[in-house]
Amino acid sequence: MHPHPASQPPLQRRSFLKWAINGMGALIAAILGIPAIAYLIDPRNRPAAQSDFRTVAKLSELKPNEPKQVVITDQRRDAWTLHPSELIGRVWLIKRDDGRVEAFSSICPHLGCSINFEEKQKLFVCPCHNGTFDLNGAKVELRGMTNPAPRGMDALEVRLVEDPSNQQDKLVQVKYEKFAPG
Amino acid sequence: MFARLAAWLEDRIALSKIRDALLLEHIPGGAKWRYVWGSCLSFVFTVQLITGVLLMTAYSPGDSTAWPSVYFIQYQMDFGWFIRGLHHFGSQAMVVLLGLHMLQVVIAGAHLPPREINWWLGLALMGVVLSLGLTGYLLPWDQKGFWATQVATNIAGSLPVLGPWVQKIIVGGPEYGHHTLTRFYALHVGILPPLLIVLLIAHVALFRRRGVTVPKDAVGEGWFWPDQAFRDMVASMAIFALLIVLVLKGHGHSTEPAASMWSYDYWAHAGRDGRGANLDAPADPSHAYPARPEWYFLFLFQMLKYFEGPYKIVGTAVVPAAVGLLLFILPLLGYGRMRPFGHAFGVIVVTALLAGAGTLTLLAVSQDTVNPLARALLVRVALYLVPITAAVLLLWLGLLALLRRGPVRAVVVGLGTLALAVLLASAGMGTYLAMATEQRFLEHKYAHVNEPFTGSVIPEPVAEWVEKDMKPEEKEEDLRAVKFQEEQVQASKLARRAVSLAGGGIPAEGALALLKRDPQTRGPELFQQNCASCHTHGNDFKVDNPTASDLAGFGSKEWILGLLRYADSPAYFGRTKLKEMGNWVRRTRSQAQKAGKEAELEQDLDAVATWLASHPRPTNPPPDDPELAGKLARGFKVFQQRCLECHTYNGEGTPQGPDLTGYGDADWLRLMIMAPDNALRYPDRNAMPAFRNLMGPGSEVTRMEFTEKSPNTKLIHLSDLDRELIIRWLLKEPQPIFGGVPIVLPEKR
Repeated sequence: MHPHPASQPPLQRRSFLKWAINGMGALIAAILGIPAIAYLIDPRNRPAAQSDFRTVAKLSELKPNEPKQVVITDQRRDAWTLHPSELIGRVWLIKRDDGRVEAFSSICPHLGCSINFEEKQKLFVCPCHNGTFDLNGAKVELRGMTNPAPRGMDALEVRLVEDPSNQQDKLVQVKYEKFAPG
Repeated sequence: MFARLAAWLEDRIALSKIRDALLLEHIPGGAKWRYVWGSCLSFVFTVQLITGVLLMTAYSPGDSTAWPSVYFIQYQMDFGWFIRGLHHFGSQAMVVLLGLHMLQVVIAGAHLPPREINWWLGLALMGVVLSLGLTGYLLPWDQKGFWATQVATNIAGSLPVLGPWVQKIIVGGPEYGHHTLTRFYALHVGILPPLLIVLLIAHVALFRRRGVTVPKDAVGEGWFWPDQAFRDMVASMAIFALLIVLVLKGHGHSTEPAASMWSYDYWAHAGRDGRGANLDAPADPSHAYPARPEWYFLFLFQMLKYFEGPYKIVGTAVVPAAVGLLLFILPLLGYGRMRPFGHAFGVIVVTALLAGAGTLTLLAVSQDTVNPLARALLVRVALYLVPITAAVLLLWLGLLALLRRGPVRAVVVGLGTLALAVLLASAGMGTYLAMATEQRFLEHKYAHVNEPFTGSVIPEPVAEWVEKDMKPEEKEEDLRAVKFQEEQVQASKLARRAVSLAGGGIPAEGALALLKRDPQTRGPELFQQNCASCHTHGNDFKVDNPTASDLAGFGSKEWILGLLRYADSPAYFGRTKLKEMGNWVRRTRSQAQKAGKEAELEQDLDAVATWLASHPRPTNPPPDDPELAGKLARGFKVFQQRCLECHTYNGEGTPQGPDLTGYGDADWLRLMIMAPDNALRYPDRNAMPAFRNLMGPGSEVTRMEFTEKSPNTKLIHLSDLDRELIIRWLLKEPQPIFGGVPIVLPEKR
């Protein structure tokens, strides 16, 4: 390596040059960096799946206190792709003794696995980490088992409307929404 | 605290030593502006790396996803247009800077021994940069990149012996498809950039080993840090600023009215205002496109034109290989006493190559230029100004090599610089003026106004100089250029349509399906194929012997009113055997004349037309506007009085003429198209064939049932999708159709 020669520019000039170089570097970094960050966090603009009230079943198909799984079909957007009619979620329906119908998202509030219904025990059980819920969707603590679910099953809005093809029956409509697990 | 952390780090990894090794480079002869090109190249390459990785986070290689993902980057993602624009224009800057760097190197004699290997590394780097340009151009999978890259791979395929085999390997099969994209993508992001980095490190390391080539007139000493670094930084900054200007100006297709310029939303989505890089219509193998490569490959494209037939290989392989070889041996000409000759020869070769490329590029542009004056100007810049500039540069450099330091040399330096600046500026200005004039000329030409073109921006003296020696055939518009520009207009129309439709979502099958299911794009084509042998549609199609009505504006109030007034005219039933309506019009009119109630009749016709144009059905919800509701109610009343004697509505009336329930809506048309002889349409005097889907499973059932029921009506195949496209186009409903393709079984093997 060459020794620092005496021809080095005066200190003042050197410090100006360094300052200018750093300044220009910072400016370029900002002009490139700020849009880059906005671009990288763009997914924040995309909404989660949800739907209006969709008909999922006829009331006559439901037996009292017996959960039935139905699917919600709706338009789904995946970035640029528009799926005009696709399965966007699964829902557990339960008809109560008084004829009311309740709906629960089948997505486990723990970490998002799909909750099953165990016929024998009359319990909802998540197959991933044994999150367990009763017929009201409430969290259940079984002896000798830990239940990692942070809350009960997520309830969805339900309404019953006239069935135009059958005056005796009603249509069950659910408004689907995706809840954040955990 | 900070100092302690720094000390801790320093103790472990000795950052300062690395920094010193990188920055404390001695520059004998001092820092110079002309040394900036290498650093600028590294800078732009860094920008390319950063923007490239950002694009990778959103790009999806694949036949049906590539275009949509680029569309999404360009038009939907925040600042996607900006990132993509920088990457797009950055690649062009790389190529320009390569040329300048190369020229500077040979002028300095920095390619001569002992720096041969570094020259070769530079050549390899140039190859990698050009390959990056070529592979990147295909990735958006738009018409432009698709067809231009085909030319490149076809050239590979035309080479003797291994050509076809190599082509198939590069393309990933016999045709362009999924694997073309995955392979080009792998090359573009996974193979070429790391190769470039390795070569670049070697290039810089070798450069540092020997240092700069000290000019013989150099005085003084300098250091890379901060003297040269400052110059490099200023030059990089200037290039970056130029890139930003190009991105902001942009040449994209604008879609929707942008939000206010003062909002975040506007700048996050400024691609919608046409800023940033262009995205052409989705690649369509069935739709030919006037292929042109990216501008920095135009000189190769132009050269191919001069070698025809059996000589094609001269343009595709012999000349490029010879040039490559020539560049390769340049440093070998610098040994011993050959050195001055080798130096001069290198300068001449590189200058000539750059000038030749410039000339060919401008000639290529001129041959696509329609305006005769602009075209002639480009030719003159290409054939006179560019070679003269190169010659002056060579003369000047030669003189400088002979002159010793002194006042004479200083004068020559000044004069030469001035002359070169003037020449370069004239060439650039001439090119710009010609291209700007052409653009204005085309806008004028396709605006179809019957006025002579006055928008030329070429100054009068220049125009006179050019016109002076224009040959007679040069003064005509070139037909090939006209054809090219017409195809360009069509292509950009399609591109704009694709981009504006994509905003509503793209089907999973890809963006091409979007255009194939767009009524506005496909409707006219389908109408021509299926309807235009009998029906006219304004003056849109040439119909030799029309035998049925004119369907332009079908179902609109104007169309219906015309029918009610002039049912006998050729535009309505005049060409058919349907006479009842015409008779009714005459009868009704003469009655009204006798009774002196003509004005009343006109009012009644207007009311009925208004009502029918609302496509009335009992199930339609009543309109919100009370005024409109009143008009419709009146129309319905008149209809009941005057029309029910021949027509039916909602089961009432006399089924002599067609049923008018929902008249002119999609359901009404569908029955008309699929069963024109149905009891609700024209059961007796129908001449129209029935259009049904006669392909795929189940069609034989349709055919069987139909021949039983309607032995007198011709049956013609029209797929369900095509039928709906025609209906939507006729009714001016612009939404594309998603899904709905009839099932087609794969052929038996």
